[in-house]
Amino acid sequence: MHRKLKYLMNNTRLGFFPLKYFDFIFTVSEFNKLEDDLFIFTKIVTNIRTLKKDFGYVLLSFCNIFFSGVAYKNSFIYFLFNYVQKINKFDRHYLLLKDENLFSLNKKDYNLSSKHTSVPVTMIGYSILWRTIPELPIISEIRPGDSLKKRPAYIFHHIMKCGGTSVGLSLYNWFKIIFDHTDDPNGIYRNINEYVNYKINLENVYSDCCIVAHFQFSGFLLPQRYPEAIQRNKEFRVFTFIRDPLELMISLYYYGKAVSQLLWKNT
Amino acid sequence: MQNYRELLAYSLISNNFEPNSRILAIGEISESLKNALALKHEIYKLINPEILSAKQL
Repeated sequence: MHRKLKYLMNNTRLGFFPLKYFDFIFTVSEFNKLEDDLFIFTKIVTNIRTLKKDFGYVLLSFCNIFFSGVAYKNSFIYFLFNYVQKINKFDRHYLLLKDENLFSLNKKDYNLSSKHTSVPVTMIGYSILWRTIPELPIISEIRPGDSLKKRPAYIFHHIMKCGGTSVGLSLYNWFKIIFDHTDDPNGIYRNINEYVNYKINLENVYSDCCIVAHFQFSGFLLPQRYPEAIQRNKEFRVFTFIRDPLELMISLYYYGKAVSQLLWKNT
Repeated sequence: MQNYRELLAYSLISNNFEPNSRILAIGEISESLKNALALKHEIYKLINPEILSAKQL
């Protein structure tokens, strides 16, 4: 049963501390009695960051004491609140203190009273779930296009009235979006002539990019505008969303009607 | 409070981490939590946590 239980100890002579090794680091008992020293806090956070894997998680649990509604100690909690990337969310402590199920009431002397008598204090447990995402180096020797050999970039063919605007907004969560529209305010072309004369240089597109465009006009279909993307089909993946044809035509009718009315008003 | 915190750690690990994940417990944890985690994961315990605040690893 204890086959997998191992102990780490202070044996740096043997280089025993494995760096970037742990998926998850947690504590349920420590750090309650740290002295208030910013230098120590920084050292602990740096050391934990050194031990965990780049995308690993850390769970640190604390007890904080409230006396007459005021937080009494543990500055380390406040340090963590400000300096680590927290995943969980927190309610304000005065809201917790309103609900008896969310805290425990202890009668114990925490040197709060000068007469060394027991005073009722409120204890609230804090659990900070922390995750760091490694930062990419600012300077890289790899050209953008080189990354495509490992992971492809994407091209989203936005067929009109098929939910493409919503899809495009969702794609923002995962990709660097490059608009290749003729008339989009987020696009790179100022007018139709620029769209005709210029196109995106696919050598500057890297794996985290997604090109979004309407490839629906004759002469500007995807194989005509970006034949290299079709040839390098392992480096560029193309996808689209389609819709029931009747629903599409109805939607297009009302869209055209609304746009024409708007244009009529503006003129 | 201590039991609650241990249960929280256990449920977080068992619901979110693959078997054989490497887990480090800093400081004291109960025997029951240690045994439960050691069944599925590779668990380590840092027995001198003061090293974290004493020097740069």
